Amino acid sequence: MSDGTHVVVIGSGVAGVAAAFAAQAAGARVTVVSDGSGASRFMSGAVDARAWELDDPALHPLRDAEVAQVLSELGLWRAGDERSRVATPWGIVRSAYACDRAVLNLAAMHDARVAVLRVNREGWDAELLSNAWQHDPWCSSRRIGFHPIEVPFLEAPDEAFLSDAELAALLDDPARLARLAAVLRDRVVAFDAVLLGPWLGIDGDAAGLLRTELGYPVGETLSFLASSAGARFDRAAGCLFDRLGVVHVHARVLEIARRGEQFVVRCEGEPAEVLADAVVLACGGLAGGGVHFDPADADLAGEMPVAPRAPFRLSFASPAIVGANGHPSGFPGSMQGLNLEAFDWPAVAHQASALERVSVLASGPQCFDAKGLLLRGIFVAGEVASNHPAGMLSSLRSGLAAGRAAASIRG
Amino acid sequence: MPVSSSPHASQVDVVVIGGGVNGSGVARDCALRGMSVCLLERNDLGFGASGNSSGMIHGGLRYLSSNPKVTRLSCLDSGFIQNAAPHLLFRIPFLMPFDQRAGSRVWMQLVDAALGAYDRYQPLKRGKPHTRLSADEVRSIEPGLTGDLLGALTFDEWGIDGGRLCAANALDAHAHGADVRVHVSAEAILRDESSGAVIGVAWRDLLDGSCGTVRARVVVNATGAWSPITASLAGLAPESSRVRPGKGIHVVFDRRLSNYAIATMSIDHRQVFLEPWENVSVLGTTDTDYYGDLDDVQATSDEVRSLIQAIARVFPTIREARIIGTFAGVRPTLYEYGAIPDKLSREHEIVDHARHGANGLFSMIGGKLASYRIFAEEMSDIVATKLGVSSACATRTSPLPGGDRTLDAKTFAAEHQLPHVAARRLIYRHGSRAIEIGEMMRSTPHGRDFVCHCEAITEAELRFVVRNEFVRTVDDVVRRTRLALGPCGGLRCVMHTGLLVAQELELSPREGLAQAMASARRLARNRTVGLGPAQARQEALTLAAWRSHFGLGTMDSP
Repeated sequence: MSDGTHVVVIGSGVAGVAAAFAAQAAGARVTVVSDGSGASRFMSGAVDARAWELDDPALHPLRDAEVAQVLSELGLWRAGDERSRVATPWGIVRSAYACDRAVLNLAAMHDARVAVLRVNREGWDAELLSNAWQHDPWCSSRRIGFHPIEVPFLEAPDEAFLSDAELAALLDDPARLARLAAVLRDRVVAFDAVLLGPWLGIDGDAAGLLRTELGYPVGETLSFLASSAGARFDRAAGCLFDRLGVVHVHARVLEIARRGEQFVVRCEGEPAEVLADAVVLACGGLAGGGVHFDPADADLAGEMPVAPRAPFRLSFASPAIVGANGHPSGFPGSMQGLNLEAFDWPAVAHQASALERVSVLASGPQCFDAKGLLLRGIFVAGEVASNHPAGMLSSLRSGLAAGRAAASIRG
Repeated sequence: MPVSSSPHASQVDVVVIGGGVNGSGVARDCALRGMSVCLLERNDLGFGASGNSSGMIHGGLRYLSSNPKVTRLSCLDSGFIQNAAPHLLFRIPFLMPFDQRAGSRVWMQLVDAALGAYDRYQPLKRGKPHTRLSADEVRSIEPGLTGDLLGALTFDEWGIDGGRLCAANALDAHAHGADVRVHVSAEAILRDESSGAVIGVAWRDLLDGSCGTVRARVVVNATGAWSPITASLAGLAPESSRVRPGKGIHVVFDRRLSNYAIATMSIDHRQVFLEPWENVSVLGTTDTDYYGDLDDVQATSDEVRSLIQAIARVFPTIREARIIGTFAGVRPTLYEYGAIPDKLSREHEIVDHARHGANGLFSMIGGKLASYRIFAEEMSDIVATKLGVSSACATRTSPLPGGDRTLDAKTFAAEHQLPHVAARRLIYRHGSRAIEIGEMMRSTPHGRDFVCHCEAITEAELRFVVRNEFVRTVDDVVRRTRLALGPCGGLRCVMHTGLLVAQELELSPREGLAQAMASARRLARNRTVGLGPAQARQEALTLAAWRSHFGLGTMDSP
């Protein structure tokens, strides 16, 4: 049993949430230390499993009871029986394992007419997007049509200039939502669904309320980088931490060091130190900010660096080490640095870029030190544990495994 | 109807092969003299050296000691270009710092004298006379300069957007009846079987695959580094049109890092510089012999580092600045074996292939951006004589499109409810043609929306460029407008642009998105070789965003 075991989770993205959830469920006391979530905060609203295994039905969230439970606790992402089909603001219709509850899922539609709201906002061109979605092969095979309609969605001229997430937050006001429902009831006639940008609330379930009210689905496209879907995730994660009684320390981690049988997590700001029996690194990879690219010539004083060094490291000091392709990365054979051409985008779809293959050296939730020895008490999850693009669901699964392992450190 | 899909000429006076600054300059000059012209460009206008140069119309300072006549002509011609397209030029004052090492004082004295001589020609291009600054003065106007400074000399040059200059020439040629065709490759230069004289060009459209011929008595090979390939299309030995291809790369930083352009020496004693250029800073350049594919020239991380370490000696904070891209081109310098690249002549010459048996075929060899107009005039004089056309060259005085009058950005901004900076950028690119774009902003839904925030490009401008400036792909839009070349790297604009281009050109949305994807990949590749700590995180984020919009593993197929 893990009586009194204190687990510190570093990072509050999807892997951190899952790790905190699992550790708490296993009886541990949990503290999350993070300075705002990284890549999860940038999510589009589409929930992917794991790279290049999109067609593996075993990975469907509804077929994994534990994953389904976290999804239901989070209350944010919906998975149908078949894969979701969602429209992107880039004019594409794509599949996903699950999607944000506010995103319109087209998967069940056939011979459908979808009304697309004309809203006078930059980057939202209902005509252009409708035409592109309609020409998507999946939509045209299902005969799903997209039709721009005029509906007074914005209530003040300056709403045209708000960010997507700011506009979405206005829809959390029940009166505002009721006005939108009335307008849609009035204007949207003979359509099977309504599609609009990512503006349907941050806190509440505006899409669900509208559906109940109107009898047909009203939903969003995916979000642009760092907009509504990410803000909702942040909010839902915070609520879940509160409900579970998980302490959330908002601070940047500087160092993880061993102190006897325990670890001390040093932070920037207050509290300066947190003691832990086990630590879960769920800090994200390069995109999330958990890993830094730190070539030897970055802090050059003269013409050459003082010494060669490995190009990637965790964003805080730690016994765990970062490697590439699952191997420790030594220093390159040049005082000037790596041949950067290697970091190009992958030329073939089913390939990870070299940047995406950087991760903490690990086996499952356990990780290794510089000598290749298993590190007792430090566990790893999410993007930073994966030497390929992780995907929300695989981050969630690895978070659960790491949380469980951390909670049982004493047992 | 987009200009690029107007009916094609089958018989013209002269076919110009190559849509760089020399080719589009000749096409314009000949068209202004009343000749019928067809311009064939295998890639895009300004695709090669013209669109990837240091972006300067300089006055030939380097020729001052050897051949002051060239300097005088360069300055004079720079003045003519300024008259024709005042909107496209911007002043770049240069600082040349000298540090306290042995011999510096004498060297500075010599350069001072040379710049004094250069001052005599500066008025020809409205340049300011040079000045000599003390170490304290240098540090106060350019605090980023470090080291034990002796002082600095200043001199005055003009910046230009080479891609826009090519487009402006091609547009004016088109306005005077020329058939301008991009992504159309010359496949063979046809010759009369008995006389060997040129009778036309067989072409192939590289995007739609169509083929055809255009008949002409004169063919001008203005293909820069591609010249030997083009000559071989007429069955001539490639050596008949030989150049020595010299690759030059530039590194682009996310903003203007210095107040002045800074010129210094590289480790192999070549001049390199960091210049504030439009919205960014440009660091250049290398000069190395190039033996690779001219359609696919890239900077390497090794070249980027060599430039950084050179400029860091005088401007060390360059190492903390964020690289957002690189570009590379290949200069068509005159062929010479044994000379080091930097010492090769930037002079130009015209080869009359009559002496190789191909009467009517001419190759334009060498040249530089600043001398394109005079080079085009010399070439067109020969073409005119050949064809018995007597009208004189008009390019010294007649304005390029948009250069007929100067607009005030402040007034324009107020009239069109645009931010001042957006109005300035628009007027910079289009001159008085901004008025037409302003009207489109009013009349087009979303016309005023910004597609690209980094370069302040509105949807109206984008549509205008696609309709009027020979655009056939998303990459062509990038070259016409600098869309997606700012700090965001196209993340927020490229896909939307793909849809807009597809709509304007009546392509399927998927075709437009596929083009956008190809552009995004090309831009990413050009950023990668300059990857630093901050850009590495953005690159990873951009990849993550791309995957989250396409689905993991399906990045290739919009």
